[in-house]
Amino acid sequence: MKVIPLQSRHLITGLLVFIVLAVVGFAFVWPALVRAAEPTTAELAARAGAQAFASIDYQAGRATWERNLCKVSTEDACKVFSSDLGGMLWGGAERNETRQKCLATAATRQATNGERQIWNVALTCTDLTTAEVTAGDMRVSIVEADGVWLFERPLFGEEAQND
Amino acid sequence: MTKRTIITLFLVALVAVSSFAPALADDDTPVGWGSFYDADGQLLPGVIQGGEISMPADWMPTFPDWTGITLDATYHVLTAPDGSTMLVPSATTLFAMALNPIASGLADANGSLGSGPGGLLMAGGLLGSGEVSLANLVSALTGMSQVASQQFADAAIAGDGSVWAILNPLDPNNSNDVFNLLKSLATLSLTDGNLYLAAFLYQSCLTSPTGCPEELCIINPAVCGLPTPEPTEENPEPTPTEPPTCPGPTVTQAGISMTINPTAPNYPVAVGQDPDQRGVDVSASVRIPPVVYTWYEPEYEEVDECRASGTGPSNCTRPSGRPGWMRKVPHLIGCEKRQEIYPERLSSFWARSRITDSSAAWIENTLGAQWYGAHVKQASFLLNNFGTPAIGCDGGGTCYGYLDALGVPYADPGFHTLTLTVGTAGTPVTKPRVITASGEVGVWVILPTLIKANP
Repeated sequence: MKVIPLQSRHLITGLLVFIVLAVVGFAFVWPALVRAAEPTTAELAARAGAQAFASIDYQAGRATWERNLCKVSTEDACKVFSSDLGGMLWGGAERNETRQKCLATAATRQATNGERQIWNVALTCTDLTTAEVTAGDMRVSIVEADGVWLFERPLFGEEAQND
Repeated sequence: MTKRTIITLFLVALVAVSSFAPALADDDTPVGWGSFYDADGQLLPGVIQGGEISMPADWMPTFPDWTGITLDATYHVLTAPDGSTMLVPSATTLFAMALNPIASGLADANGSLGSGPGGLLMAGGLLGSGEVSLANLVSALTGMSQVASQQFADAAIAGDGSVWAILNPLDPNNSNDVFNLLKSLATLSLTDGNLYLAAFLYQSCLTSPTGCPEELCIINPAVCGLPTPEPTEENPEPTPTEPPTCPGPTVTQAGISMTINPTAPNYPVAVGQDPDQRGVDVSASVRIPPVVYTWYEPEYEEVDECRASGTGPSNCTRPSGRPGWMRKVPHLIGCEKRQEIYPERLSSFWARSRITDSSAAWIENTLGAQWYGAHVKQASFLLNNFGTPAIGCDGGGTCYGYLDALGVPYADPGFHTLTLTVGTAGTPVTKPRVITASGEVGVWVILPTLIKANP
């Protein structure tokens, strides 16, 4: 039987290698894994836009809805929501006495066209009057400008044929 | 009026004065912009501006059903005195109609702008450019090229959804994607207003989706389909009767009890002839019940009644047969009785004695003839000097005053008038007052009489 004598320098060398590996793993590998699991800024923009668009409380008023939407939207999108289209949407909200708060629970990217991306956002909406909960998907488009992703608009149901 | 409204009306007016001959309604009666604007483009007197209204439309683009979010069609509404109504769709509404031209009534199957949804479509500003077609309208509305707008019109009229492919947001070479068009429409609607290229004209507001404005129905009930009042008063309004009301407030008070009388002895004599010099006891008293203030609080309940005025189109008929408006009207259902008790406090209490004139005359004339020097020694004096008045009020609000004047030394025989005079401070609902009561005391005199002896 061959005997390998274990010298003290072997132990010290092994300990140093272990420490180096641990430091490298903690400093680089772990953050990379965490970043991979975190939502991207594009996803966050899609989620925030879908939430703001679908969260309608006619009692709080159209101005509140527009303000919340414009916080997460492009300047052009804010203009669209504040003009004709916003009024057309708000008429139904007041007639139906819509009061709901929506939260995005998931989002998946569906398509990319340069600076524009189409995302499918899963939303859960709670009726602020009856506490009834509804859930479903909404497709939204987001655009990147100056390295920042912002909400552009929800897609109409009729646009499904373009997928 | 907002800047946008002014711009809208101005552009509609421009379109009107530069437009085509009036179209013909179903009964061949000329109708058109002329019902709303004069030759100078000025709004005619009596035209009612209903402002911007929104209403659901099944041809609008949709969002997922589960969101409950829908898009309304919005219009600017004008109603002429004859009831004809003009609906001018907003820019985005007109674009949505172009996306679904057949269902929205914007165009016929050939792509020509035709009769609208129940009304007559007028497209004034497009005439100068030639054929009045959906493609022309889309081009004017969105700025698309003639080729692109013709493709758009063809696809939209086909109604198979292919029009959305033209608006594909994922096509990198497409400048006419949905968002770019929405942005363009938003910009135009906010700044220019050069979008009101078409209007729907309804011969009667009764057939218009927006209905008849209230102001018009009041002025001209007939165009709103309401009964027209006869010029003669066959069914005059019933004479208005005073509405039931609660009784007015009242002030009541029970009777006052007030006396002043001698109490002892039964036959008092002038103090100079009384060996005991007892004098006369006089008692005075007053009791003033509280003042009761009574009022009534009306109690109402809201009931529905058909009244002569209201908002919106008439929705009921009054007893006279005339149109009316259902309104919540307060009806008196009862009166709650309320009472307040106020004590009427005494502010003064005076008891006085004064010899009667006849007694004074008897002393000085009759008695003086027999007894030289007889005269009235004390004609009047205060009884308060012979006792201490007690005044106050009890818990029930009754106020009182008492005086027991004991051993009053009457020096003059005869009859004396006793007078009790009290003053009150009044109450919040009554004024201060002075009340008097009187009594009488007789003071006897012992006179020696010579009687002839009868042996």
